[in-house]
Formats: sequence, C-alpha cells, structure tokens
Amino acid sequence: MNQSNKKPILEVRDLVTSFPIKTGLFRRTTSEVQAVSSVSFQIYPGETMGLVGESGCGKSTVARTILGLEKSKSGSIFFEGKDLTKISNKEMQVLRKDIQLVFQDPDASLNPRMRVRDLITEPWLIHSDIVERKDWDKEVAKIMRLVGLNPNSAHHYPHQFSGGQRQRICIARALALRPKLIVCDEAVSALDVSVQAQILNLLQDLQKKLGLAYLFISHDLSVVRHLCNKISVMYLGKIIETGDRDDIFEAATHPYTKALLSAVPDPEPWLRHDKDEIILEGDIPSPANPPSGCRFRTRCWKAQELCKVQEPTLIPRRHVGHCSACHFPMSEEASPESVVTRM
Amino acid sequence: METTTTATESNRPIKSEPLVELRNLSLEFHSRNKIAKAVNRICLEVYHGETLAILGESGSGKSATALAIMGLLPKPGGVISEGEIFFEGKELVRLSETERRKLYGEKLSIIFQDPLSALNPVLTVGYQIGEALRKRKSLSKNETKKRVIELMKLVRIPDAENRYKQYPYQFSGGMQQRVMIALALAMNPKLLIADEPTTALDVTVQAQIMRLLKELQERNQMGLILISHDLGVVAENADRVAVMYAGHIVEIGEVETVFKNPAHPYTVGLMSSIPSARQNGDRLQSIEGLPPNLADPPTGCAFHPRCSMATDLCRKKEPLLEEIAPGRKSACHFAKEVLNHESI
Repeated sequence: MNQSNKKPILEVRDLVTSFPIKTGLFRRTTSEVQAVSSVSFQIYPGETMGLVGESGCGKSTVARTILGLEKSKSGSIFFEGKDLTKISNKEMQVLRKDIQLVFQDPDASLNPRMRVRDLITEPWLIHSDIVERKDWDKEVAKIMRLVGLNPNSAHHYPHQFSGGQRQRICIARALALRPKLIVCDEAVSALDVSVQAQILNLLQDLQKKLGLAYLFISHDLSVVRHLCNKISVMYLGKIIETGDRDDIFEAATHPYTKALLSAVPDPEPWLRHDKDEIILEGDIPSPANPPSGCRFRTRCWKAQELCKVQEPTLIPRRHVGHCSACHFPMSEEASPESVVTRM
Repeated sequence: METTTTATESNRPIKSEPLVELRNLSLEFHSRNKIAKAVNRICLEVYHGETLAILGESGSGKSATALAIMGLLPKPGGVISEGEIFFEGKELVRLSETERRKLYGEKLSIIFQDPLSALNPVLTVGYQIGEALRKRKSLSKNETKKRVIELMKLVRIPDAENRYKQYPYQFSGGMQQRVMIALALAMNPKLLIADEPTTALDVTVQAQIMRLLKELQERNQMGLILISHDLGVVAENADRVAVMYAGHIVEIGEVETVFKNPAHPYTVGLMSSIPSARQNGDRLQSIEGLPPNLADPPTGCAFHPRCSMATDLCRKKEPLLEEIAPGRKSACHFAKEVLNHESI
C-alpha cells in the first residue's frame, strides 16, 4: 500500500475524552475519569484499523467520540481534513453520513416495531439528497442483496430474522448513506462462530466492492488478525502499541501485547512450539485512579522503579518497525530465550 | 478403590467405572403450542479426573444437557422425555427429592457464565460461600468462617480475611467467578459442570480462571464437564470433546484427534470458520445457512441442509453416533470419507 501519496480519511490526534465523577448531595463534579487519554491514529481509505483491548480500556469511547456521541475534552479528529471537534452541528450532520456505526448487539440497535424496509430507509428521511423517494424500493432491494438478505423479506420485522441476519440488517442500514468509513464496535462478538465467519466475509467483500475504510473495535485478537491491516492495542485509555498487523503479531514489543496474545485460547495448542505462556496476575486497575507512571506496571512482570515514576511514550522501535510505549520493551535478543519448547 | 488404569497415549488414567453416564437422554421444551426437541438421545460418559468438553453453538443443546444433569431444567416446560442419567451408578432422573438434595451440591456442582446474576447481591460473599457448609455439615460459626477463608485462598482471592465481609458488587468479574468456583467447591464435589465459565471475562482473566480450574481439578481428581462455544478454550483445556449440533452429538473423541482430523462435516466447517491468531488467512470458509428450528427439525440428518456432502440418504435416514475408531464416534453416513478427505 502506497500510503505516502494517500491522505488519511480519519486522523485522530491526542484525543482525550473524560467522564465526570459526581458525588454528594448536589452531584458536584469532584473528579473525572479519563476514559481516553491522548490517543492518536490514522486510517487510510480502503484500510481496516483494529483497536484491541480488554473491557474498560476505552476502545468504545474512542468510537463514540469520533461519531460525536461523546464530547472530547481536548485533541482533534480530522475527517477528510476537517476537524470534527470544531465544526458546527450543522456541518457535523452533513459529515455524519460519511461515518456510520455498527454495534455489537443488533437487537438493541434495531427498533422491533419497524420493518426492515423502514429501518433501511430511515436515514434517507434525514439525508434526503442521497436517494430519491421514488427509487427507495429499488435501492432497498439492492442494499439487501448486497448484504446477503433476501429482498423479499423487506416487509418482515427484526424478530423474524436470526442474529446473524439482524447484524446484516444493521450493516445494510449503515450502508444506506453510502459512507466512507464504518466503525464496527464489537460487530461480530455476539455471533456464533459459523455466523461470525459469514459476517466477516461480508465485511471484507463490502470493503473490496465499495472501498470502505473500517475502524474495527474488538477484544478478539484472532478476528482482528483476520480482518485488519493495522492494529492499535489499548490499555487503560492509552494506545500502548501500534503497527502493521504482522508486526504486532510476529514481533510485539510491549509486555501487555505479549500477554494478550499469549492469553488467546488456541484452537490448535499442539502446533505451538514456543509455549512461553504468560498469565497476568490481577485485574485492570480502575481508570478513575490509574497507577502512576506506566499504567500497566501493576500487572507487568518487567516493571521497575522507572516505570513507577515516568510514563513511557509511544516511540518507534527500530528493530521491528512499529511503535510501542514501554521503558523495557521486549527486544529482539530477548525473544530467543523466551522460546521454551514444550515437551 | 478398585480401579483399572489403562495407559492411553497421553498417559491419562481412565477408570473403568464412569463417574457420570448419560444414556439416550432426550430433552424437550414445551411451550403453549409447540415442542422444541433440545436434545435427542445423547450418550456420554465422564470419568474421574477427566475434562469432557461439550462444544456447540447457541441452541445446540449443550447448556440444556448441563441443566438436566443438575436437575435444573426450567419448570414448567423443560422435560426429560427419555433416557437415564447415572451418577456413580445411581440413576438421577427418577430420584426422590430428599435423595436428590443430598447429592446435588455435595457431589455435583455447577458454575455459570454470569457470576453476578448467580450471586445474591445483598448477602456477603463469605456468607454465600459458607451456606452449603452451614446447612450440610452443621459447622460452628467460627469453623465455617475458617473453612470459607481457606476456600477463598484456594481460589486465590487476595486479602481473603477482609474480602469475606464484602458484597459481590465489590468484586471484579474475574474475582466474582472465583467466588462462584469457591462456592461450587465448598463440599468437594466429584463432578463440576462449568457452563461457559469464562465467556463473560476478558482474555487475560479467562486464562487465569482456566488455569485455576485445571489446578483444582487435578487436586481433587474431579470430573469436569466444560461447556463452551470457543474452540480455543476447548482445545487447551479438555481431554475429550463432544461436538453438538441441533440437539445431537455429531462427533465425540479425544480433542486433539477430533480437531486435527474431524470426522463430521459440521466439525470440519466449525474448524474452518474460525480466524486463526497464528497466521493470516484469506477468506473464511463459513458454513452456509443457519441452524435448524428445533421445533421443526429437518428429516434425516439435522445437518443436511447446510452440508455440502449431503445426499438422498442424508435427507431420509438419520445417522447414528457410531464408533469409527477406538474412542472415536461420529454421526455421519460418510464419516469415513470425511476422515480421509482433508478438504470438503
């Protein structure tokens, strides 16, 4: 991919999103939780960026802030050169049709009292310039076919479909406005594996056909590896490692990324020769009261005094070609020793 | 203990007498105007110290099977329509209520997917773990507390003395699941059923909980039935696996042999529809179509509408779960062909 002459479709720069903590009788704001603290990344057209992390790491808040569902505290979000945090609501309304969202739970995102046709045409009521009213039925049939639904079922209600089909309706609805970027927030996590595979294939086909860019948020590393070109790993509101997919999976340098990769249940454990299983102790600390210095240090087996005092910054690792934020990154020379053969 | 141990490939001792045995078990759910056949004549055995995984997608009948073993099928509606469940040679389906109470909780225990909905929010964690001990062993207050703290330490809840007095909401998801495990283990059961024990947890916490379960199982030589939809969890933790589809066991055998060389088209499809974290893949081989409606199952083999190998025979005749190799069974008319052909 020749990214040098391409402009990113979405660029997030030092984004901070925080939630107030209110206490006492008068619900006064006493402090705040930084759910996202200075996160930066770019997505190029036709590319898929994976945002991975465990619950509470802020990955969904990133998505919600990009879509304007949460207000950012500082930082900027450039979509095709325009800063979404600075434009007026009116301008935002126009731009929003270019960015669409697919959520985890189709049941919660589809109105049970609306027929599929109405669900898909609803966005056109607001953005009336996309499809002329007389073409609605034709266009609905086209979109339904595109996502693998039978156009004859346009008059059915969501409950008449299976979970996978309902997720297809959600995708159809996102496509109705012909977006350039689709944010998938755990879009396949609630589905059974055989259905999940169908939806993943659909997302890939749509990307090829329509040149979409995806921001794919997931906790499932195998799904992310399958779908994404680039991956950013988040921990407690910060991106701790980011790079091309292969770099992250083959040469992770941050201990947390290593641990996360090692914790993924392997359907073929007998093929694994470098069984250096890392099982982290403890739980993720509360984002309201993050540890000083490196946020991962409370669970990190490599943590030293420096990690407590100084927060590591996201810097490029020359020997692997991607960025990570760690004082003591897993280096090249460390990897052979960690390869323990399982007998 | 008179046990004949036969050394298998993995040197896992198999005791001649199964701990639990399901014989032709069928379960139905009755609603006002229809009957859903959730489980159809399944046969299973679990031995001491063994982990048997039941793998399947939603609606395959794996959880219903677990509930039936525990006598927890929803009432009214859930019915054992056929078959027997033996636990240490004792038939459970037709057991009297008093005998049943003695057995459950003491010898058989279960942990569920969502610990927060399984725990009582207004009782302290210590009280809930100690409940079985107080009721069954009539221990004194101090003795109970001592034992509960021991159990909490066993499942590695840090600072057990203080957390004893805390409420479930003060625990994280992983810690709550540890509380559930402590609760289930209070009476040293011989069989533990873990119904999707880590599905609600993050991967790093999942790894902790699975390791803990494994250690506890080895310690007590418990039989463990691990119910999961996650092929990775099954592959890493089970000795044998039973693959369920639409209420049938379609394949059963040692995990490694089943996963390396499946003998049922559904297992083949399942294996190829998961993206791998080990290597980059192109396109996933998804299984076309959807699982059948259990109130109106297809004729013949339940999988035939989605199977690329299906013939007229499959549409007419239901395949039985038959032995195709020692310790290995498959319910497919073409099991041999599936075994021999890597790709379908």
